[in-house]
Amino acid sequence: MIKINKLSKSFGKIQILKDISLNIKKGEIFGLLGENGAGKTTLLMVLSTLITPSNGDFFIKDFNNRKNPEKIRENIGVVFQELTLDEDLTVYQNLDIAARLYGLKKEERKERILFLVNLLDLGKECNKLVELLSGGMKKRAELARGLINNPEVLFLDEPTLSLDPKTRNNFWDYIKKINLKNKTTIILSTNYIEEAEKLCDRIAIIHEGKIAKIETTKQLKKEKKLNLYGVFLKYTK
Amino acid sequence: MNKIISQSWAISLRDLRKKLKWWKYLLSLIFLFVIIYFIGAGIDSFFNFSQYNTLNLKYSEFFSIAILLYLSALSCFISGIELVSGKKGFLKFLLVVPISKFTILFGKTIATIINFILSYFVIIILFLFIFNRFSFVTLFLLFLLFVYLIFVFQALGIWISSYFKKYETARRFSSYLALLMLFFSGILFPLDYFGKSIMLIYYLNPLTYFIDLARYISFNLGSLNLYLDLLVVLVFGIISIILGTIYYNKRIRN
Repeated sequence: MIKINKLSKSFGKIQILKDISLNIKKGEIFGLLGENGAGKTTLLMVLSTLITPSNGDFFIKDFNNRKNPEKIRENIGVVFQELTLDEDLTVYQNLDIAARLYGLKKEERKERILFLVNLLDLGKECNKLVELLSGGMKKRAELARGLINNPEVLFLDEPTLSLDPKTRNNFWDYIKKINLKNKTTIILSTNYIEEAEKLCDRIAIIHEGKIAKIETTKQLKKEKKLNLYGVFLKYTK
Repeated sequence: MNKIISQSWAISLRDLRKKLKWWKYLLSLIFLFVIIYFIGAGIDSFFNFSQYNTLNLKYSEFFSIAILLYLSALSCFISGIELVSGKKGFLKFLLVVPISKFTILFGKTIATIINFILSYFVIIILFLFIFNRFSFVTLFLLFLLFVYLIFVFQALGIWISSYFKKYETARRFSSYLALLMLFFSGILFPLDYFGKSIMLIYYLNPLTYFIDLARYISFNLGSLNLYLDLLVVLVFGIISIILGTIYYNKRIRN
């Protein structure tokens, strides 16, 4: 589903990503685990075509980022680290505008919004202004917007940052639900070990812009006879 | 084509839903009208302005259309800055949607035009009636001038913001520029009130020519030569639009 070839990104003289290569299978939940500043967000921003890589390229569903960025955008959904919904609009209005931008017709829009509202239990909050929602609800609404075009690939950039443990656990359930129900490929960046452990089929540990290790979560722990925290520390020294 | 229209409309709709909450809109409309009307009428009542200007206009006439033009220019200038500098929130989301950058620009411009019609043009029509200057030709020409101004000042905002790394710095700069434009464009006082050294600033300010042209259209009176106004407005406008387009192209997905 995703094929990345020697991807690098520099901002001026600072190199953030260094020769990243990896393949992600369809339907996989793939975790990018790393410290703050490791390059996880930059990698997601490059993959979501928000910023262009300095070197290398990638394919999503056979579409190359340099030749067909528009086609890539049609097939992805992105949930950013920070709030990107309009706080002075309702959840419904935010979803409606996003659906219009993806070219959904009136009936399709209604149907899709209703589906997502039910899937993510946003029913009661649907007609509330986003500014009146709790942090967890805002994240859920962001997630709904990320799914409005029924994407085959969903990028989640530290989606549970600053959420309390209970809300975080609930959010994980929704991510699993989306993955199971739609077979959506999910690429998730996080610096929470337990999040990666609970959700991801495979994990890439990113350290100083490079991939230090890619492995299935089970294999990572088995190989080093450590818990995931121990493995993480080992590869980010 | 259909896609471009529906996407542009989605962007416009979003901007309009945000800005035009009906009660806020109604309040701001009344507030703006009352403020402009009372400043103009207030000065009219104690000051025989027509003696001091070569235009032979009452102060309320001299001031009202010009201040509305200034407010439109300013809001378009800021919207231009926001279009490329504030890559947060909705704009960030837009950049991961399959939408062309010109559709984004088109959608934003439509929203600005609709917002202008509802927020300022309604008041302009009211003033033309109050001053007994209403005609459909005047209204049509004023509308064309204002729409052109929207394109020009939005482009100018995009162009100027390209010199600033941070959105906040660009906004701060725009507030200084707004002050300069307010006092040195003949909105508040006629050009012939001032000495030659200050007149130079007036002549270098492109808004001066837009305002003078608006007065020609509304009252058939202006401080400068009509052809000079037209020439400067056209040349400055076209250069701004070209530069704005080039910098928009560079900045939006960079």
